[in-house]
Formats: sequence, structure tokens, C-alpha cells
Amino acid sequence: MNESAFPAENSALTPSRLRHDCNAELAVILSAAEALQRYSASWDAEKNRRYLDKIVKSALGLRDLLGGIRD
Amino acid sequence: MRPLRVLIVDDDIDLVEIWSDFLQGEGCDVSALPPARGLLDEFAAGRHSADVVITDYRLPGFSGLELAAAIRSRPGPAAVILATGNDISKLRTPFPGQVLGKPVPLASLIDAVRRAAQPEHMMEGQETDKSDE
Repeated sequence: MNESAFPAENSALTPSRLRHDCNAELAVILSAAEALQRYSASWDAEKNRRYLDKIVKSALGLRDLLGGIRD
Repeated sequence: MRPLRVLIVDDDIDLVEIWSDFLQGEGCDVSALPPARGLLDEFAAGRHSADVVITDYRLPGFSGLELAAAIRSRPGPAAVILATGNDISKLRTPFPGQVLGKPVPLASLIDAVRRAAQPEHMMEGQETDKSDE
């Protein structure tokens, strides 16, 4: 496919790319948090810790993405 | 009734693990594939099968639209769900399935999977907003 199905995706730092990458980090945060709400009581400590680590990792990734925005 | 076979094609390994755990907990038979070179040909050749395929739009080497096309090119029903962090209101190419905007609540994810598995939703075309064209 030669042409993107979404507009303005040719540059690595377009608003479209930033939106995508931020939403990808938010997706991990939301899904991991919801999974912990649902299942943490039945999971062992290691699994709970792994999911918390995902939330931390994605929150930091989101911070870095937003920190890269120049006014 | 056999479990729904769900295949996730996404390069976000954290999200793949979370969604796999969740969908398995909801009774689905879940597998995952990284978006590697040659995967489109493998799908077109029918080497991977599932009732529902969940994929991102932006994948290394190809797009979710191309993956859906490869799946559609082989015989047999299958439904594809596009879960993307892009602005789905600006999707200019019709996608033959449901389009979900990330982040997706888990309840919305399982609802979409179950809806997609209904025969009437298998590979239906989707009207999209082309107002930005």
C-alpha cells in the first residue's frame, strides 16, 4: 500500500504519530489497570507486579512523549 | 460450543499479553503473532486461522488494512477488528470490520470480539468519515 489510510503520517513527529504513540501507551495503562481491578485478587504477587510494571513503563513512556512536544 | 479463536497481531508485547490474558479469562482461545516479514503471505496462504483477528493499523512493514486484505483473500469466514491509536474519524479507507480507538476499555474489547464473531458481521464493509479528504 503506497498511500497511508490516514492523513499526514509521512513524518515521524507529526501530530498523528504523536497521537498514535500516546494512545498506545494509554492503551497499556488502561488495560493493565482494568485487568488488575478484575483479577488482582486471584493472581499471584509476581503477576500483579508484572502488570504494575507495565503501567509504570507506559506512564514513563507517555511522559517522555509529551515531554518531547515543543511549543 | 467451542471457544472463539482470537488471534492478535500487534507489535506491542505488553498490550498483547494483557489482552491475551483478558480474552482467555473470557473464554476465548487466544494466540498472538508478531507482525513479521512474510506474515501477509502466510495469511493469504491460509496458514493462520481464527474466528476473529485483532490488529493495529500501524505495524512494522505493513498496515492493518493490508493484513485485513490478506485475510479476506483466502476462503473461509473471518472477522478483523482494527484497534488503533490513530484518529479513527479520519480513516479514509473503508475497513472491512470494526474499528476501535485505543485506549479500548476491556468491556468494549470483549463486546467487539463477540459481535465480530456473529456471522452477519464477518468481513462487513464499514462506512468511514471522509470529511478530511
